Amino acid sequence: MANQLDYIVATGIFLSVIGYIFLFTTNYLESTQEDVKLSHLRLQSMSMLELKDMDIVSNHYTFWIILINNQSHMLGESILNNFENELVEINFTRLGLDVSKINSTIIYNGTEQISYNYTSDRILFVTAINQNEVKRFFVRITQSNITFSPVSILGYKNNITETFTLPWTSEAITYKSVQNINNYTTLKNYIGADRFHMDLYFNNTKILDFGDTLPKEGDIISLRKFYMVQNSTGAWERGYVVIQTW
Amino acid sequence: MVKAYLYTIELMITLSIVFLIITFVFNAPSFRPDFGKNVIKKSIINSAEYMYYNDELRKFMENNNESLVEARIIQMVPDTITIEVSDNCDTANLPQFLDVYRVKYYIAGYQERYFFKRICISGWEQ
Repeated sequence: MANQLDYIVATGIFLSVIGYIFLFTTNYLESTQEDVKLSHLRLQSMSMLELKDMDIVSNHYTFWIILINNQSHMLGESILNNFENELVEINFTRLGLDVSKINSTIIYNGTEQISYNYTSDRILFVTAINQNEVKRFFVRITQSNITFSPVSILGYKNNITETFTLPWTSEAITYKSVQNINNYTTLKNYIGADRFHMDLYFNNTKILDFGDTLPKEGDIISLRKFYMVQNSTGAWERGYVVIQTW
Repeated sequence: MVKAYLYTIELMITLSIVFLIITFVFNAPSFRPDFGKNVIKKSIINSAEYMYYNDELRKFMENNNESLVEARIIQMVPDTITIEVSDNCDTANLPQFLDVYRVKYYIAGYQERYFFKRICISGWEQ
Protein backbone atom coordinates (compact mmCIF):
# COMPACT_ATOMS: atom_id res chain seq x y z
CA MET A 1 0.00 0.00 0.00
CA ALA A 2 2.82 2.38 1.02
CA ASN A 3 4.69 1.54 -2.19
CA GLN A 4 1.67 2.37 -4.32
CA LEU A 5 1.26 5.70 -2.47
CA ASP A 6 4.92 6.58 -3.19
CA TYR A 7 4.32 5.73 -6.83
CA ILE A 8 1.27 7.99 -7.03
CA VAL A 9 3.09 10.90 -5.32
CA ALA A 10 6.10 10.54 -7.63
CA THR A 11 3.86 10.44 -10.70
CA GLY A 12 2.03 13.55 -9.49
CA ILE A 13 5.24 15.49 -8.95
CA PHE A 14 6.57 14.37 -12.32
CA LEU A 15 3.42 15.40 -14.18
CA SER A 16 3.40 18.81 -12.42
CA VAL A 17 7.01 19.52 -13.31
CA ILE A 18 6.60 18.32 -16.90
CA GLY A 19 3.37 20.33 -17.25
CA TYR A 20 5.06 23.53 -16.03
CA ILE A 21 8.05 23.01 -18.30
CA PHE A 22 5.82 22.28 -21.28
CA LEU A 23 3.79 25.43 -20.63
CA PHE A 24 6.92 27.55 -20.19
CA THR A 25 8.53 26.24 -23.37
CA THR A 26 5.44 26.63 -25.56
CA ASN A 27 4.89 30.17 -24.23
CA TYR A 28 8.46 31.03 -25.08
CA LEU A 29 8.17 29.56 -28.58
CA GLU A 30 4.86 31.35 -29.16
CA SER A 31 6.27 34.75 -28.10
CA THR A 32 9.35 34.23 -30.27
CA GLN A 33 7.14 33.34 -33.21
CA GLU A 34 5.07 36.50 -32.56
CA ASP A 35 8.24 38.64 -32.36
CA VAL A 36 9.53 37.25 -35.63
CA LYS A 37 6.17 37.83 -37.32
CA LEU A 38 5.98 41.45 -36.08
CA SER A 39 9.57 42.04 -37.08
CA HIS A 40 8.83 40.73 -40.56
CA LEU A 41 5.76 42.97 -40.86
CA ARG A 42 7.72 46.02 -39.67
CA LEU A 43 10.50 45.38 -42.15
CA GLN A 44 7.96 44.92 -44.93
CA SER A 45 6.17 48.15 -44.02
CA MET A 46 9.44 50.06 -43.79
CA SER A 47 10.52 48.73 -47.15
CA MET A 48 7.18 49.54 -48.77
CA LEU A 49 7.25 53.08 -47.36
CA GLU A 50 10.13 53.83 -49.71
CA LEU A 51 7.67 53.22 -52.59
CA LYS A 52 10.60 52.48 -54.90
CA ASP A 53 9.20 49.20 -56.21
CA MET A 54 5.86 50.81 -56.95
CA ASP A 55 7.29 53.42 -59.36
CA ILE A 56 5.49 56.21 -57.52
CA VAL A 57 8.53 58.11 -56.29
CA SER A 58 10.84 59.84 -58.70
CA ASN A 59 13.83 62.12 -58.35
CA HIS A 60 13.56 65.81 -59.12
CA TYR A 61 16.27 68.40 -59.54
CA THR A 62 15.96 71.49 -57.44
CA PHE A 63 18.13 74.59 -57.24
CA TRP A 64 18.14 78.31 -56.49
CA ILE A 65 18.79 81.25 -58.77
CA ILE A 66 20.07 84.31 -56.95
CA LEU A 67 19.85 87.69 -58.60
CA ILE A 68 21.76 90.52 -56.95
CA ASN A 69 21.42 94.01 -58.36
CA ASN A 70 24.69 95.64 -57.35
CA GLN A 71 27.75 96.89 -59.16
CA SER A 72 29.76 93.69 -58.84
CA HIS A 73 27.03 91.69 -60.64
CA MET A 74 26.59 94.06 -63.59
CA LEU A 75 27.13 92.60 -67.06
CA GLY A 76 29.28 94.41 -69.64
CA GLU A 77 28.67 98.12 -69.68
CA SER A 78 25.45 98.05 -67.70
CA ILE A 79 25.00 100.76 -65.12
CA LEU A 80 23.51 100.15 -61.70
CA ASN A 81 19.84 101.05 -61.87
CA ASN A 82 16.32 99.82 -61.16
CA PHE A 83 15.38 97.34 -63.89
CA GLU A 84 11.75 96.67 -64.85
CA ASN A 85 12.38 93.79 -67.26
CA GLU A 86 15.59 92.10 -66.20
CA LEU A 87 16.16 88.86 -68.10
CA VAL A 88 16.92 85.67 -66.20
CA GLU A 89 18.15 82.73 -68.24
CA ILE A 90 18.50 79.06 -67.26
CA ASN A 91 20.74 77.21 -69.66
CA PHE A 92 19.91 73.52 -69.25
CA THR A 93 22.84 72.29 -71.31
CA ARG A 94 25.34 74.33 -69.32
CA LEU A 95 23.85 73.14 -66.02
CA GLY A 96 23.82 69.50 -67.18
CA LEU A 97 20.04 69.15 -66.82
CA ASP A 98 17.60 67.02 -68.80
CA VAL A 99 16.31 69.25 -71.63
CA SER A 100 13.32 66.97 -72.27
CA LYS A 101 11.82 68.21 -68.99
CA ILE A 102 12.30 71.87 -69.80
CA ASN A 103 8.56 72.58 -70.05
CA SER A 104 7.83 70.72 -66.78
CA THR A 105 9.94 73.17 -64.82
CA ILE A 106 8.36 75.19 -62.06
CA ILE A 107 9.87 78.44 -60.83
CA TYR A 108 8.83 80.18 -57.64
CA ASN A 109 9.54 83.64 -56.33
CA GLY A 110 8.48 83.05 -52.74
CA THR A 111 5.05 81.44 -53.16
CA GLU A 112 4.37 83.11 -56.52
CA GLN A 113 4.75 80.86 -59.56
CA ILE A 114 6.68 82.52 -62.39
CA SER A 115 5.61 82.20 -66.04
CA TYR A 116 8.41 81.72 -68.52
CA ASN A 117 9.35 81.26 -72.14
CA TYR A 118 11.59 78.46 -73.34
CA THR A 119 13.64 77.35 -76.33
CA SER A 120 15.15 73.91 -76.94
CA ASP A 121 17.53 74.16 -73.97
CA ARG A 122 16.88 77.51 -72.26
CA ILE A 123 14.28 78.97 -69.99
CA LEU A 124 13.82 82.73 -70.09
CA PHE A 125 11.79 84.94 -67.79
CA VAL A 126 11.80 88.56 -66.72
CA THR A 127 11.60 90.19 -63.35
CA ALA A 128 11.67 93.68 -61.90
CA ILE A 129 14.53 94.38 -59.52
CA ASN A 130 15.61 97.54 -57.70
CA GLN A 131 19.12 98.77 -56.98
CA ASN A 132 20.87 96.65 -54.31
CA GLU A 133 17.92 94.29 -54.13
CA VAL A 134 18.49 90.52 -53.86
CA LYS A 135 15.93 88.16 -55.42
CA ARG A 136 15.88 84.40 -55.03
CA PHE A 137 14.02 82.01 -57.34
CA PHE A 138 13.36 78.42 -56.40
CA VAL A 139 13.42 76.06 -59.38
CA ARG A 140 12.06 72.51 -59.56
CA ILE A 141 12.48 70.33 -62.63
CA THR A 142 9.87 67.64 -62.36
CA GLN A 143 9.54 64.21 -63.92
CA SER A 144 5.79 64.50 -64.35
CA ASN A 145 3.85 64.85 -67.59
CA ILE A 146 2.52 68.24 -66.51
CA THR A 147 3.75 70.82 -68.97
CA PHE A 148 3.47 74.58 -68.99
CA SER A 149 2.81 76.65 -72.08
CA PRO A 150 5.46 79.24 -72.94
CA VAL A 151 4.67 82.86 -72.23
CA SER A 152 6.09 85.47 -74.56
CA ILE A 153 8.38 88.01 -72.98
CA LEU A 154 9.06 91.41 -74.53
CA GLY A 155 11.29 94.41 -74.00
CA TYR A 156 13.75 92.66 -71.74
CA LYS A 157 17.44 93.33 -71.21
CA ASN A 158 20.11 91.28 -69.54
CA ASN A 159 22.00 93.57 -67.16
CA ILE A 160 22.81 91.31 -64.21
CA THR A 161 24.65 88.02 -63.99
CA GLU A 162 22.77 85.29 -62.12
CA THR A 163 24.15 82.92 -59.51
CA PHE A 164 22.99 79.29 -59.63
CA THR A 165 23.30 76.96 -56.66
CA LEU A 166 24.30 73.36 -57.26
CA PRO A 167 21.19 71.33 -58.19
CA TRP A 168 20.27 68.66 -55.67
CA THR A 169 17.94 65.72 -56.13
CA SER A 170 14.85 65.30 -54.05
CA GLU A 171 12.38 62.45 -53.89
CA ALA A 172 8.79 63.30 -54.69
CA ILE A 173 5.48 61.76 -55.66
CA THR A 174 3.62 63.04 -58.68
CA TYR A 175 -0.11 62.86 -59.25
CA LYS A 176 0.45 61.10 -62.56
CA SER A 177 2.42 58.24 -60.99
CA VAL A 178 -0.32 57.70 -58.40
CA GLN A 179 -2.89 57.34 -61.18
CA ASN A 180 -0.96 54.35 -62.50
CA ILE A 181 -1.76 52.37 -59.36
CA ASN A 182 -4.93 50.43 -59.98
CA ASN A 183 -4.48 46.67 -59.70
CA TYR A 184 -3.83 45.49 -56.15
CA THR A 185 -3.07 41.84 -56.96
CA THR A 186 -0.65 42.71 -59.74
CA LEU A 187 1.16 45.22 -57.55
CA LYS A 188 1.23 42.86 -54.56
CA ASN A 189 2.74 40.07 -56.64
CA TYR A 190 5.15 42.46 -58.35
CA ILE A 191 6.65 43.73 -55.11
CA GLY A 192 6.34 40.34 -53.40
CA ALA A 193 4.41 41.65 -50.44
CA ASP A 194 1.89 39.99 -48.15
CA ARG A 195 -1.43 41.68 -47.57
CA PHE A 196 -1.18 45.43 -47.21
CA HIS A 197 -3.18 48.61 -47.29
CA MET A 198 -1.90 51.95 -48.51
CA ASP A 199 -3.32 55.44 -48.05
CA LEU A 200 -1.83 58.46 -49.76
CA TYR A 201 -2.55 62.01 -48.66
CA PHE A 202 -1.87 65.21 -50.56
CA ASN A 203 -2.00 68.15 -48.15
CA ASN A 204 -4.08 66.12 -45.64
CA THR A 205 -6.61 65.08 -48.31
CA LYS A 206 -6.75 61.39 -49.04
CA ILE A 207 -6.25 60.82 -52.76
CA LEU A 208 -5.55 57.08 -52.71
CA ASP A 209 -7.12 54.32 -50.63
CA PHE A 210 -5.68 51.09 -51.92
CA GLY A 211 -5.25 47.47 -50.87
CA ASP A 212 -6.87 44.81 -48.72
CA THR A 213 -9.51 45.60 -46.12
CA LEU A 214 -8.01 45.85 -42.65
CA PRO A 215 -8.77 42.90 -40.35
CA LYS A 216 -10.98 43.51 -37.32
CA GLU A 217 -8.54 41.86 -34.95
CA GLY A 218 -4.89 40.91 -34.80
CA ASP A 219 -1.61 42.80 -35.04
CA ILE A 220 -1.44 45.55 -37.67
CA ILE A 221 1.79 47.41 -38.32
CA SER A 222 1.10 50.96 -39.49
CA LEU A 223 3.91 53.31 -40.58
CA ARG A 224 3.87 56.77 -42.13
CA LYS A 225 6.35 58.69 -44.26
CA PHE A 226 6.21 62.26 -45.53
CA TYR A 227 6.96 63.18 -49.12
CA MET A 228 6.97 66.22 -51.34
CA VAL A 229 4.07 65.76 -53.74
CA GLN A 230 3.05 67.42 -56.98
CA ASN A 231 -0.73 67.68 -57.35
CA SER A 232 -2.82 67.54 -60.51
CA THR A 233 -2.29 71.25 -61.24
CA GLY A 234 1.48 70.98 -60.92
CA ALA A 235 1.70 72.77 -57.57
CA TRP A 236 3.90 71.37 -54.80
CA GLU A 237 2.54 70.35 -51.42
CA ARG A 238 3.34 68.27 -48.41
CA GLY A 239 1.98 64.74 -48.54
CA TYR A 240 2.40 61.46 -46.76
CA VAL A 241 1.86 57.79 -47.28
CA VAL A 242 0.57 55.31 -44.68
CA ILE A 243 1.39 51.63 -45.14
CA GLN A 244 -0.39 49.00 -43.05
CA THR A 245 0.59 45.33 -43.02
CA TRP A 246 -0.78 42.40 -41.02
CA MET B 1 16.32 -6.48 -4.18
CA VAL B 2 15.47 -3.01 -5.55
CA LYS B 3 11.80 -2.47 -6.06
CA ALA B 4 10.54 -1.60 -9.57
CA TYR B 5 8.88 1.69 -8.60
CA LEU B 6 12.30 3.08 -7.62
CA TYR B 7 13.43 2.61 -11.23
CA THR B 8 10.31 4.47 -12.35
CA ILE B 9 11.07 7.39 -10.02
CA GLU B 10 14.68 7.43 -11.21
CA LEU B 11 13.56 7.54 -14.83
CA MET B 12 11.13 10.39 -14.07
CA ILE B 13 13.85 12.40 -12.32
CA THR B 14 16.15 11.88 -15.31
CA LEU B 15 13.48 13.01 -17.75
CA SER B 16 12.78 16.07 -15.58
CA ILE B 17 16.44 17.04 -15.70
CA VAL B 18 16.47 16.62 -19.49
CA PHE B 19 13.42 18.89 -19.83
CA LEU B 20 14.96 21.43 -17.46
CA ILE B 21 18.08 21.58 -19.62
CA ILE B 22 15.95 22.01 -22.75
CA THR B 23 14.11 24.85 -21.07
CA PHE B 24 17.31 26.66 -20.18
CA VAL B 25 18.66 26.20 -23.69
CA PHE B 26 15.50 27.72 -25.20
CA ASN B 27 15.62 30.47 -22.63
CA ALA B 28 19.12 31.56 -23.73
CA PRO B 29 18.13 35.05 -24.97
CA SER B 30 17.01 36.39 -21.62
CA PHE B 31 15.52 39.56 -23.15
CA ARG B 32 12.97 40.05 -25.91
CA PRO B 33 14.51 41.65 -28.97
CA ASP B 34 13.62 45.33 -29.39
CA PHE B 35 12.49 45.77 -32.98
CA GLY B 36 10.97 49.17 -32.21
CA LYS B 37 14.31 50.96 -32.31
CA ASN B 38 14.48 50.49 -36.10
CA VAL B 39 11.16 52.27 -36.40
CA ILE B 40 12.39 55.19 -34.24
CA LYS B 41 15.60 55.60 -36.18
CA LYS B 42 13.89 55.23 -39.55
CA SER B 43 11.20 57.75 -38.57
CA ILE B 44 13.85 60.30 -37.62
CA ILE B 45 15.86 59.72 -40.81
CA ASN B 46 12.73 59.96 -42.99
CA SER B 47 11.68 63.21 -41.34
CA ALA B 48 15.13 64.77 -41.71
CA GLU B 49 15.28 63.69 -45.36
CA TYR B 50 11.88 65.19 -46.04
CA MET B 51 13.08 68.50 -44.60
CA TYR B 52 16.26 68.26 -46.65
CA TYR B 53 14.30 67.63 -49.89
CA ASN B 54 11.96 70.47 -49.02
CA ASP B 55 14.97 72.75 -48.40
CA GLU B 56 13.79 73.53 -44.86
CA LEU B 57 16.66 71.83 -43.06
CA ARG B 58 19.35 74.03 -44.63
CA LYS B 59 17.30 77.17 -44.13
CA PHE B 60 16.58 76.48 -40.47
CA MET B 61 20.13 75.45 -39.67
CA GLU B 62 21.58 78.50 -41.40
CA ASN B 63 19.64 80.57 -38.86
CA ASN B 64 20.60 78.21 -35.99
CA ASN B 65 16.91 77.55 -35.52
CA GLU B 66 17.05 74.07 -34.07
CA SER B 67 13.73 74.55 -32.27
CA LEU B 68 11.98 74.87 -35.66
CA VAL B 69 13.67 71.69 -36.86
CA GLU B 70 12.51 69.96 -33.69
CA ALA B 71 8.94 71.22 -34.09
CA ARG B 72 8.79 70.00 -37.70
CA ILE B 73 10.18 66.55 -36.87
CA ILE B 74 7.76 66.13 -33.95
CA GLN B 75 4.91 66.64 -36.44
CA MET B 76 6.21 63.81 -38.59
CA VAL B 77 7.18 61.04 -36.15
CA PRO B 78 4.72 58.85 -34.20
CA ASP B 79 3.21 60.51 -31.12
CA THR B 80 4.92 58.02 -28.79
CA ILE B 81 8.37 59.28 -29.76
CA THR B 82 9.95 62.26 -28.03
CA ILE B 83 12.44 64.27 -30.10
CA GLU B 84 15.38 66.43 -29.06
CA VAL B 85 17.45 68.32 -31.63
CA SER B 86 20.87 69.67 -30.77
CA ASP B 87 23.28 71.54 -33.02
CA ASN B 88 26.26 70.83 -30.78
CA CYS B 89 25.27 67.20 -30.14
CA ASP B 90 25.28 67.54 -26.35
CA THR B 91 23.33 65.18 -24.13
CA ALA B 92 21.97 67.72 -21.65
CA ASN B 93 18.27 67.23 -22.34
CA LEU B 94 18.29 63.49 -22.91
CA PRO B 95 16.73 61.03 -20.45
CA GLN B 96 19.16 59.12 -18.26
CA PHE B 97 17.32 55.84 -17.91
CA LEU B 98 15.78 55.25 -21.33
CA ASP B 99 17.16 53.94 -24.60
CA VAL B 100 17.87 56.95 -26.81
CA TYR B 101 18.43 56.62 -30.57
CA ARG B 102 20.43 59.35 -32.25
CA VAL B 103 20.79 60.33 -35.91
CA LYS B 104 23.48 62.74 -37.09
CA TYR B 105 22.81 64.85 -40.15
CA TYR B 106 25.37 66.97 -41.96
CA ILE B 107 24.53 70.13 -43.88
CA ALA B 108 26.74 72.32 -46.02
CA GLY B 109 25.54 75.67 -47.30
CA TYR B 110 22.30 77.39 -48.08
CA GLN B 111 21.70 79.44 -51.22
CA GLU B 112 24.82 81.54 -51.87
CA ARG B 113 26.34 81.07 -48.44
CA TYR B 114 28.65 78.21 -47.49
CA PHE B 115 28.72 76.85 -43.98
CA PHE B 116 29.15 73.44 -42.44
CA LYS B 117 26.90 72.13 -39.71
CA ARG B 118 26.07 68.92 -37.95
CA ILE B 119 22.88 68.33 -36.04
CA CYS B 120 22.00 65.47 -33.76
CA ILE B 121 18.39 64.34 -33.71
CA SER B 122 17.66 62.11 -30.73
CA GLY B 123 14.49 60.14 -30.17
CA TRP B 124 13.13 57.89 -27.48
CA GLU B 125 9.86 56.21 -26.61
CA GLN B 126 7.91 57.83 -23.83
